[in-house]
Amino acid sequence: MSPLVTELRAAAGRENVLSAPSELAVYDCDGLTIERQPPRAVVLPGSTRQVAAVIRVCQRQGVPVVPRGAGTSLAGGCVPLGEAVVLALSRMNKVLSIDLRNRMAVVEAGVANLQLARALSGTGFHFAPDPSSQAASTIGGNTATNAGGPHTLKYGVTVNHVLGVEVVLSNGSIVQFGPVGDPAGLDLIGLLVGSEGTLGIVTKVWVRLMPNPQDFHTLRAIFADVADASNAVSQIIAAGIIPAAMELMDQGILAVVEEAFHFGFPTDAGAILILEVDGPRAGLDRQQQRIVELCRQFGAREVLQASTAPQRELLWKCRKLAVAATGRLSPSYLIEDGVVPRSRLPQIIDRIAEIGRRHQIRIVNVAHAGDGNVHPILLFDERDRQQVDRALAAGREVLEECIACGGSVTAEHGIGIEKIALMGRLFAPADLEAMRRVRQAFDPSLRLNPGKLIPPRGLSPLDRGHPQ
Amino acid sequence: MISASQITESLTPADTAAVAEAVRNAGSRGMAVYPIGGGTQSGYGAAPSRPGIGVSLANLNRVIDDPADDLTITVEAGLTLAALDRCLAVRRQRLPVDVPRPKQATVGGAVAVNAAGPRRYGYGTIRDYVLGFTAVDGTGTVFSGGGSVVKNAAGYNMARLMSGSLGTLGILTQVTLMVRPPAEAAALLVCDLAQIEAAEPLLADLVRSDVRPIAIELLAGQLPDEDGLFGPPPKGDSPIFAADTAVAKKQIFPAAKGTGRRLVGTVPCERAARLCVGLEGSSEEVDWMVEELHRDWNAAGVGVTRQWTGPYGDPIWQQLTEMPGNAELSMEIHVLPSATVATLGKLLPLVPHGAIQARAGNGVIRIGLSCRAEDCRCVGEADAVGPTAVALIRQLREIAAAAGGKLVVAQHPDDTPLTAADIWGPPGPAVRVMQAVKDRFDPHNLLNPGRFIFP
Repeated sequence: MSPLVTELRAAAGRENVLSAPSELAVYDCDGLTIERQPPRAVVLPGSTRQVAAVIRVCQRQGVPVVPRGAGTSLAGGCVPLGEAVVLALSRMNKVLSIDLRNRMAVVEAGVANLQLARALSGTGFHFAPDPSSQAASTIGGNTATNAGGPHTLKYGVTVNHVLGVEVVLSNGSIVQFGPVGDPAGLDLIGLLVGSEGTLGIVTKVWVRLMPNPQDFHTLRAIFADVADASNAVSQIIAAGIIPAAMELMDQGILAVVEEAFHFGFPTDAGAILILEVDGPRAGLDRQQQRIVELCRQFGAREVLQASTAPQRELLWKCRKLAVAATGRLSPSYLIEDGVVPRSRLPQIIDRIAEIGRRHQIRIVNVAHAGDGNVHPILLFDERDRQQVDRALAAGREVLEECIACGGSVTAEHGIGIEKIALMGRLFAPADLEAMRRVRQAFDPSLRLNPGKLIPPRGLSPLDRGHPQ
Repeated sequence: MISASQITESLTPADTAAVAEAVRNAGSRGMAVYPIGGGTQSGYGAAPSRPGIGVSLANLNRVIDDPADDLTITVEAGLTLAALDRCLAVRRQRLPVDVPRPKQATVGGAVAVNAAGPRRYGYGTIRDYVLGFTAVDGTGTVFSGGGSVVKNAAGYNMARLMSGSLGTLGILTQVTLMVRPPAEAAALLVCDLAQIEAAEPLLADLVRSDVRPIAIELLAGQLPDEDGLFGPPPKGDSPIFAADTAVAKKQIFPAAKGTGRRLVGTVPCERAARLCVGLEGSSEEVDWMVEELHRDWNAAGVGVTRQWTGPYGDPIWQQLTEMPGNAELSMEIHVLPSATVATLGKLLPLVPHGAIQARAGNGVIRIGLSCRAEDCRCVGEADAVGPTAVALIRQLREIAAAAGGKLVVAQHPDDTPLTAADIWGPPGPAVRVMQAVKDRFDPHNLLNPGRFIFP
């Protein structure tokens, strides 16, 4: 047994350290399955103290550490590059307290988003970020990627809902920021959220709870094509209306969803929008009416309200499980996470279709359309090397197009390794240098999740994300 | 606190490149650099540790990009909040963050201090609206962060780091903001309480109510009220009658008299308080919430004593934002929302002449004192009574700490020198990490030296 494993066992308990190749294989990738590398060892700590002890062991041994929640991330953020130790937080999964008076819950990092939602059911409050991965993805992981979801249009992304964190820094010290605000210092909470495990290991999170809306109406609007639907979204935003959610699904994904869930979408629909308005009951009808009018004005052939709770739930299930259902269409898929200024949505949707045609890669679309956040899903067969290359090239081009529109290469999935080479397209050298300084300030020896988020100096945008 | 005597020369660069050049020149001469926006927060923070060059952003006041349909705007940092509001109003949009003295205050300055006002409860602080920025660091290097889209997970959230860093990491020259449609209707409901402790059950009820306030202000002590919008402060020794319509813009419920005209009672006025709840939304929503709040407060036996309705920009919001406007010494305490009332109960006897304004939904308590009053002496006059300002700050800081909170001094008089430790309190967790960040953005400590937590 290696001295590393011996020390890790001493730090976290014998039964919480995995080192057999068969066990390690489970931790060699995340949702970006085309990038794999087995870790040197996996540790499943049961407490913040154990996390700190593991960090100190890895520092002594000069071994990188990669934190991992549920492994649902889509950009390779938890691939253990450089024979790292994976720190899996799945055992730290307790909801520690629910404090309604302060609209706050305290959870360990490994608590699943849906687990928190269940713990809150009946309280009249909820945690607003609702990524499609919420059944599995953890609050720690949501924090690391600044996760979003359909309802972030009105309520904001994870960073708007984190009041405090307990974090283990790269030297093994344990610090707490928040939950009480502190003007006498820098906003390190804001920096840690979305830092993809490169600045510290978040072990505990104080999350903001939002009161459930008194009521909501969920609508589906049917359009002849995706251009009309995306135009309607831009027009609704331009009219100064911010619904609770505004989600787009195109014909390609609708066919899959219909086959999987039998919602009853018309098979000839070019695209649909799922729209939700919420708030005090008194204002909902007029808000809904304005949205319906705008949808009609910009080409919706039918706008229907989900009339029962089960119907609404099914509609949301269709949207949230849409990506997973694409497995029916194709052996492999790559989901992108581009974002453009809201008025450019019709343009990017149009360009995505053109890029797919040119590369002969089928692309279907879901989008958090109100935010300008598109999730084109590129379908291919992993066994066909040519197809893989074409899909990767098409994906890149979609993201380059987002940059050209004044947008960004990720809205909520993170950079990980998948998009690291594009950081140089998005940011000037001085901007990246500023991020490197932040990283060095937190982690001078660069042991925390190395090779992610910030490209090494001199990495060409044309390079693969990392050396194979 | 920054005073003219510490500015040896002033520059007014015309663009980001000129700001960078000014910083490089200052660096080569070993001079400190003090960025200057509208000057409204020059009393915030400690005194500069050495004289230096003032860099005014007054000439960086252009709107750079105005994509109205995206609900974003990119402006130079020296643009005033009032000019920004005018620009946004044309397209029926707004930045829903209250900033004191908007005619002078600049966007860059508001971001540097992470401004927020009474509507913080509903809309957060300005940090929540900064999508991207351009700045000049302490080496004179221009860098940018974030972007111009409303959701962005590419790299670190540098905009959050810059917001509230008081110009110590870089001088902001350009800011991209997310903006919002204006609310169609607004209302402010006020109830007077003979005892501040009576506020806690009302606040706890509000948390669970379907009424969704955007502002919850709890006022106590000597309230400055130059415009008379709030009427005389609640006194325990005289009966308070409700529904004074003299300054009301519009009465939604003129018939609510019967519920409002209540005798508050006769208790010492030092413990009295005034709860103000702000609402915004569509007119149907606001009407319904106003009605609901009347019901809730009547059921709780307090009743609505005053009520205003009006559009965005109503002087009511601005007055709540400017409070305590004439204070010479002002402090801000942050505690958990649930600890607000108990903390107020403990500190009120120490500052009987202070103006107290709590953002009760956020656990933020602002205390304003005039140094002519008897609560403390800001200057070492032999005949002054009460504790020294430093002693009072320490006492109040202990109260905050006992509730798990923090106290910072927001404004203090010129002639009352306070150290950075007096102003910011004991260093928080990971001050070493913050210092390491500072050292990498401003290795020669040129930017605002001495004013923030960094020595």
